[in-house]
Amino acid sequence: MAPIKLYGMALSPNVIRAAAVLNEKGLDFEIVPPFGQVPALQDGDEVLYESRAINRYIATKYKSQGPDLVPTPSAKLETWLEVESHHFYPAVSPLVFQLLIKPMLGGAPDAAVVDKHAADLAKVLDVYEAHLAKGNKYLAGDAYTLADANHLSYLFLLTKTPKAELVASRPHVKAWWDVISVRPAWLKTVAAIPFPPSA
Amino acid sequence: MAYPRVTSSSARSSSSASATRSRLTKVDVDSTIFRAVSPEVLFFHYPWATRVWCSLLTLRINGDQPPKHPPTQTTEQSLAPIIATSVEHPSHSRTNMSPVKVFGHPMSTNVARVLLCLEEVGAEYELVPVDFLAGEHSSPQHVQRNPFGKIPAFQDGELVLFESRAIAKYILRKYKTADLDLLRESSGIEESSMVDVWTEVEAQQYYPAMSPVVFECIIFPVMRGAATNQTVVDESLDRLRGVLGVYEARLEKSRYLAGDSVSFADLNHFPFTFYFMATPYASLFDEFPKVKAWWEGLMARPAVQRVCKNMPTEF
Repeated sequence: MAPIKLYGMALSPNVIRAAAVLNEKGLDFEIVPPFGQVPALQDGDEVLYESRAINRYIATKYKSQGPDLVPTPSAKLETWLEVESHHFYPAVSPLVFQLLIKPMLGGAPDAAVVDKHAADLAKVLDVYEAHLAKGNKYLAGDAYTLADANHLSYLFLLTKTPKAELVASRPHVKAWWDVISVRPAWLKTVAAIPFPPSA
Repeated sequence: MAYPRVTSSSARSSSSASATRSRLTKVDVDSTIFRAVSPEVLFFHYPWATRVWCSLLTLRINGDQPPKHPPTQTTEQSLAPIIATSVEHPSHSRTNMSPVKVFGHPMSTNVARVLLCLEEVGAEYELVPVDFLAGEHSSPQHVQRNPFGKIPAFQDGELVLFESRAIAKYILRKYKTADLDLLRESSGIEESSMVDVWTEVEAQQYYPAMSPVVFECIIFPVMRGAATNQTVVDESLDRLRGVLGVYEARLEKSRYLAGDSVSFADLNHFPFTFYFMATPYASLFDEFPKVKAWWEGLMARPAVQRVCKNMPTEF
């Protein structure tokens, strides 16, 4: 079978989000320069974009290969997939952009934007803290699922910024991050990210 | 597997004769007047705006035409008929399943998303208001249902859910039939993944381009008396034009976003587009004939019409 093509820039957190799940499934894939919308995925004749749709496609099509990331039925899984998309991501993405990506492009972080989104993210992570403290080892319960995997890329980049303390100061969130970030598939994904050499 | 094209309620009218009904539960109308919220902005910090909005909603739900000038008085008593109003369901009855509960107000876009799915599947439901003015969204009872203190929340027996798209998927799966599979999960992964793609596109591309126009033109001026920030509007319209170009190309190839019959992906576009059409920029859609035809097809759906009844168009 021809390797799956993941179109995108290898540094993009949304590309990394998809790479994390492809690795979790032990799939052969290559990251190639993008066309149009990124990331995009080509698997045989199927072409998809939107990293969360790509991840769901991979998790569903390859359900019996590697860990099952979408055990069904699970309303809790669906809920926390949405929480990542509509609460976590809108707060963390501008933070990562200001603190990491903008400097890479030669700009300076906008302190007001950083403060606002850090405050938003703090409130969101308070909800995560309460949820994980209730006996949930992972977001959807006892097993690692797509809901956890979809957080990896932005959590990882957050921990490279001065706002890493938002995670470190919340014991259950920290414990959850410590567990999901040492998964072999994630370590493999990180090793492949072409970070620019530090100045 | 080909799906029947459901373009009117006649496709389902031959089933059960009994209509299922939903009820807005009675609320205390003596104190605060009105409960609604937009997904990200709390509307009702401003009682005066609340009364105007409320009066418009009163007239809309009761089927009257709004007056040319806004009414100078609103009586709390006029709310009682609204609260007790039943919303008719199509004759496709699901009376063998007990009613589910939706917590929130029908004007809220994310509540409307859930209500639309309930209407499409003909489920029996009860709409329970959440009193934002009284801070009910922050109450322990509501936070237990939705830890972010937002609406909607949802309850089916012992199961409590939040996040409108997760709730919607639960509903579409629970009430799925051979003829009604709006997620396409029984059609194979190629079809269901297309539904996923265009659902994500709505959330990550369409909504971010469209929503600032709705906030600037409707929500902020009505709710805060703020002036429209035309720069934000213009930038958003440019971005939206680009997005609609992608949609136009897509709809050249298929009748709906994820294929030739309607799916969850299309329905997700309804709530915010409905309000966008009430801004001065609705004519943007005239530049994209396929998109415009697709939107008009959605608006013609009986389930959409029923949900629209509780969403004002004049501000």
